[in-house]
Amino acid sequence: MRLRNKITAIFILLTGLLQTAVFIFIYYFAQQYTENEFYLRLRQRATIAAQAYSTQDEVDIDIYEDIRIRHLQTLPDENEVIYELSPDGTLPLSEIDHNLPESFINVILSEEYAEFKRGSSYYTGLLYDDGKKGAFIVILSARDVYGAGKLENLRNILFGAFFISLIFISVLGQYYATQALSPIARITRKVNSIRAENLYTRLDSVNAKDELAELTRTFNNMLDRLQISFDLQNNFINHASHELRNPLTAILGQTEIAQAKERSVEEYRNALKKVELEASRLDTLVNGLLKLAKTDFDSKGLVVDIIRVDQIIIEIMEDLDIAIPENKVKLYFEDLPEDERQLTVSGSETLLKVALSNILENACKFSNNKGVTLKILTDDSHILLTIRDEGVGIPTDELKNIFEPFYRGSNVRNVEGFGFGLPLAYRIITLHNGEIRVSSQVNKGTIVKIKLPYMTIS
Amino acid sequence: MKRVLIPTDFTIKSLQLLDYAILNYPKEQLAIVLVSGYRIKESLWDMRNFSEQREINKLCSEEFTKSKRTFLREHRDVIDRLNIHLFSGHNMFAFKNFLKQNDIKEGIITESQFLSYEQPNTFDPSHLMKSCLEKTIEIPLTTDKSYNRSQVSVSTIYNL
Repeated sequence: MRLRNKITAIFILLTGLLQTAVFIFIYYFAQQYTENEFYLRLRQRATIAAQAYSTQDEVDIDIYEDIRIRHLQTLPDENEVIYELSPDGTLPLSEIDHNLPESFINVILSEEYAEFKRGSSYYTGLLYDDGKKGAFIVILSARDVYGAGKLENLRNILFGAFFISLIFISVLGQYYATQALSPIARITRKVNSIRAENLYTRLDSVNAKDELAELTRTFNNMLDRLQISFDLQNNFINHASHELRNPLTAILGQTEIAQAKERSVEEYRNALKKVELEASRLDTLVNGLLKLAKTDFDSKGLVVDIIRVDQIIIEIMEDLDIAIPENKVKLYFEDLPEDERQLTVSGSETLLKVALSNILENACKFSNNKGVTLKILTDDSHILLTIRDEGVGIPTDELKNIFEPFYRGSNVRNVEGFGFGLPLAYRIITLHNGEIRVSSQVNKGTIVKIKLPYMTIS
Repeated sequence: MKRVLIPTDFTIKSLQLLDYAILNYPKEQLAIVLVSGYRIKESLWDMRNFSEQREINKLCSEEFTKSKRTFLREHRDVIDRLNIHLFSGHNMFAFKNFLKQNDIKEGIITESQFLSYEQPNTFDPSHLMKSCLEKTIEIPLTTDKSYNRSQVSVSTIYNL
């Protein structure tokens, strides 16, 4: 079922139910009112009949009869029965109309008045005793033809109104649903028209704050990300091809030169050394690429341990002191929490080491071994690592690309590197449900902030 | 001590500019003032009962306050003070008075519309900062730097 029809159906159903409830309410009270009104009329007539019966004077009887016939008129199927009570206040059983229920008679005797309805006939009973003629019961019955007619009329009107309003509601519901969903249909058409070749197309932005505007913005953001991803894919192929080709060209050049003519052993050795250098560069590059590729596997493939982040950092520092002895990394561990669980992360020790050492090595490398600081803090759910250097920095408008493989800042082309240290670190941190954020200013330095969720086992 | 003015829209991402204060003023003790433009309602009642601190408390979400506190802990060796003020004036004269009152001459702003000012009655004071401060550093932040994984697709490695 299409969403439009579903909305219309729900709209009709809800309105129909509400209307039915209201109409039943109206009909019920109209019926109650009509019945009460008719009982009141019967009661008045019964009272008049009782008064006429009880009077001794023939003239009075004539007057009562005259009032009844002239002013009160006769009701349809009106029937008036008077039963005299025996002196002990009981009604002789032989006199009772056995069609009437016993409870009705009992209520008349006890309450002096009772009402009763059978089919379309209404009965009222009145116990009358004015002390002149003795107690007697007047039972008056009649059919409320006019009331029933009025109620039938009301019923027909309500049914008519219900069906007509249902038609209106369904037309309006259909129209409203179409109107409400038309932006979605528009978005669907537009999104369907977007292909790889026109990925720059965006949905018309709306300034409203409703859900549809949010949907449009979400789609546009998704398209932005897709476009970035497409662009990067192209850039990546270019960069990677370039990086792989450079050492290969050098190797081919060296071998070609070496083979061009007969050379001395020393010359061959030199050529081989150069080939070895380029091959080892290629090896580093390919290893790096493999590492980068491996981290894309899902976390099921990783060896997961419980790791203390401060311990990892100390181990990385030991390695770093060997690799870059002149480094000036300062560790600030003053804010370590008392509870060591707040320093433990569940994840791959090897990968986290690779990520953090890449970032620290970068900090040392691009700051020419000026001061680098590393601070560890914890908050109520995360371990926060802040690494700050005073190096060459990254142009701020290039920050958005630094996590892309092979991307290298425009100001560090002279520094050796391949441009996959940060992308790898980024992948590893993301894999551990962490976040990484870089702020940088050219020639002033860089601040890298890493946020890793700590384990919450009790 | 260097007093630096930084605009804020009371979102966590606006606190990213604080890192740039640290980077741009190395080796200096900083007193950072976060500022947001704020339109006071023009009824007499609102003007009489306006309390800057109360409005600031309303505007600061729990996450914002938490991030601000974390930032202070991260950089407590260089950050001396971190206050928030609302600028409720309309023009440059009022803003100059605000700067004079707080003794601020330098500030950091974003180049594009990085901050969104979605909180009611707030507005971006960056243009006033640019015109009235003696020195402003513009940072071209355009997107949130919280990257998601889909942006880096390693599958392209195999396309070489």
